[in-house]
Amino acid sequence: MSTETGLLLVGVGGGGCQFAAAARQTFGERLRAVGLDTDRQAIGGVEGLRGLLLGEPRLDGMGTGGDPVKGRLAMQDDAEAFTRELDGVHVAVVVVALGGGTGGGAAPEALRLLRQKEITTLCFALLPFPFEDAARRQAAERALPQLDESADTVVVIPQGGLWESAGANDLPFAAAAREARRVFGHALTLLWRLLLAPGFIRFDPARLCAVLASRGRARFCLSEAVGPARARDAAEGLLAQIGTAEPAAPPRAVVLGVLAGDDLRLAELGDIMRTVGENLPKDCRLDMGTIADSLYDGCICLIALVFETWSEAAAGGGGAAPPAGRPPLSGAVRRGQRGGAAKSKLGYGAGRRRFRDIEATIFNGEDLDIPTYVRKHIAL
Amino acid sequence: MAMPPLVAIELGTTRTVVAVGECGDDRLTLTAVGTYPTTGVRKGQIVAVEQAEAGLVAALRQAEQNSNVTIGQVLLAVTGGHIQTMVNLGNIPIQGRDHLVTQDDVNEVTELAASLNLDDSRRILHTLAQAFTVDDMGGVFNPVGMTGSQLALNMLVIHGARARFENVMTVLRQASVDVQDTVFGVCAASLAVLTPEQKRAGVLLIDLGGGTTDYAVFANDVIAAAGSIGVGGDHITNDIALAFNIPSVQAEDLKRREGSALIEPDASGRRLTLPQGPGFPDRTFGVRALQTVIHARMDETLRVVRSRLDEEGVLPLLGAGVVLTGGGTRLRNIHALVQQTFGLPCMDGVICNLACASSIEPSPDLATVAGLLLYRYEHGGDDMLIRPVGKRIKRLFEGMFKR
Repeated sequence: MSTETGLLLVGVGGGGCQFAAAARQTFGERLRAVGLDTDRQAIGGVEGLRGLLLGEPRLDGMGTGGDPVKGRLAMQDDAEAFTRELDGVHVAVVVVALGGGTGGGAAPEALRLLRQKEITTLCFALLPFPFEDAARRQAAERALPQLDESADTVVVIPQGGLWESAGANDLPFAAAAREARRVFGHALTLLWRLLLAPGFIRFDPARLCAVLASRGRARFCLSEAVGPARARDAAEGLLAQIGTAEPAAPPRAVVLGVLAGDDLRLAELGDIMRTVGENLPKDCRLDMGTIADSLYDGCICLIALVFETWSEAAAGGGGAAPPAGRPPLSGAVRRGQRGGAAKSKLGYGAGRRRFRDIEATIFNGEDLDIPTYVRKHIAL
Repeated sequence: MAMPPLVAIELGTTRTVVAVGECGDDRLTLTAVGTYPTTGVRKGQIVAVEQAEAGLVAALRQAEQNSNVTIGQVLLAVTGGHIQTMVNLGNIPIQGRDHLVTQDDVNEVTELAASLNLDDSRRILHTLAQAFTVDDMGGVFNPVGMTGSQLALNMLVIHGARARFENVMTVLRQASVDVQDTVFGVCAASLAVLTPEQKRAGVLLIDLGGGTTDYAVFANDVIAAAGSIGVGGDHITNDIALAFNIPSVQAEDLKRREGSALIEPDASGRRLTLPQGPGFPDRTFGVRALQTVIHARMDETLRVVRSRLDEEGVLPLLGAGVVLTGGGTRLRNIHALVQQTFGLPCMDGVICNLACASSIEPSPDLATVAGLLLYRYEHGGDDMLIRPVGKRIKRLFEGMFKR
């Protein structure tokens, strides 16, 4: 299998593997993909992924029964087999549907292994539907901070919102699930397509890595439109999503993919950039690339990753061009090169009150005696 | 000869605890406790000797009254962000007949691993033997009789700032008590609340104190990592006071009444009114804002612990979950937040390794002093065993962590 792209798709758990498989279907053979699961039957039924059955001696291929500790241990059991899949990989997109044991337990562990290999990671975490049982929703809530800890960027997608975006709520269940996976597939393959199937404008790989490496959470927004005013309609639809999604913190960086057919006009592209750019905050960084796909003739689809905590310093100052002679994405920002945690705007002594006359507690360059909500700019 | 009553002291940031343990029928019972709010201590360190002494004297008197014991000698728990750890490697060639490891080899490598030259400003608190390595085989707990050419031992060394320890000693001297031994607080607490099964399976003990958050990881019956972060419940109180511009006393009261480590679903619609006080007008604010302040602080503190454990590579060892002690266990939803942060089950550290008199609630707040009593009791009444820890090399804590 070719590794020249340096990109790897990893599905973790039953749901994660299904969504990853759908993404691979969307983008075909050019996507190198691995599925990790503890359930032999489930992993066997997923097409298009190279399946790794986790923790077989421990779980006998029967799954974790919803226990994330078992999922974590199973991933640890097969860490070596997974690591063998990582040769030549520079960026990994991990997809996991949270709420179960394998996704919640194995995904943070898999991300940790990727991190050890200095691979830049983007994790798509799908949350359970609101009507699912409380135990699944709580399990998902417990797993999210661990993903935050291990991944460079986490994109959290409530499944309810995904189905709504896909217009799938009123469809029969099987068709709705297919449609939701199709929409998700577009989001998931955004990076591949921006880099490998560029239209008018190709996205700079180094910029992409720099943005992903900034660490934090991102949101995924999608908008489609047809007709004579399709560019403006799609842009306004996207802005509505960026502005209304929860939490509604102002975006700090947006990676925008314009997915269209061969009939996309330069004037339309200008329209999109003007409409989106004018409505984003002034300090928000906007990076755009186009994706040409004849399936989209007559239609414009805008896909955006919206970062709320991104900063130029944390992203490595904008990222240098990849060294000549190296494969695509080899310019990925390595952990050691990244900027440290953003320092508080307050100097030492300011805001410390009770601790003003005592030696400061410093961690990663931050004065922990200053209230956390001040340093993290959390609005009360 | 019967062992005299034992006395343990924890000079904490928010309160001073004095515990008395009495021995009888081959077991130790926690028979009396004296507590008093502490002033003059910040982040586990003495900042005003006289104020700290006043709190200590009051707690000592209360303990004496409750136990009918005159307190002269005590064991002391120490903590503070200045406490650091390092792993020191001792390595010797095995030169005996047939290259068999002997007890002498073990003693020699133990001595070597425990001997390190720290700056004069630092004082070694504990030297804790971890695992031996014979040639390339690690994880050996008793290498005597094994064959090889090299014997190595990892020694976890816990050390702190000499001046900070001296300040605590000064407070105790002025209160006319003699310190027999000093123990890192969270290590002491582990003796009282952790079971041998937990220590074997891998457990993280977090002591959520007023001035510091201390942690210790046990795995395979040995202490794998330990440390102290100079952030505690006092920081939450300070954050609240600054966020809402209210006095610390009111902030502390709010923390106890409405505080939560997670933002509760019903917090959004609720509002609190604080009446006017001297120099402060009345204030109204939302419970959600209050809980946001607390959540941000607790979440960050636990992530710092997690990050340190990640750096030391011990996170994968935690098979038996997380155990909490200290006053921070009273914060609502703290267990859920710990579970979220570590992805592991979390429980309160209940004093399970010694008996408590019926009048004493075996709460996680008393884990440190209870552990101190056990520490002394486990080592018998032999005064030789309670010399200052730094002076003894031979596996002082081996028995402590392999019970």
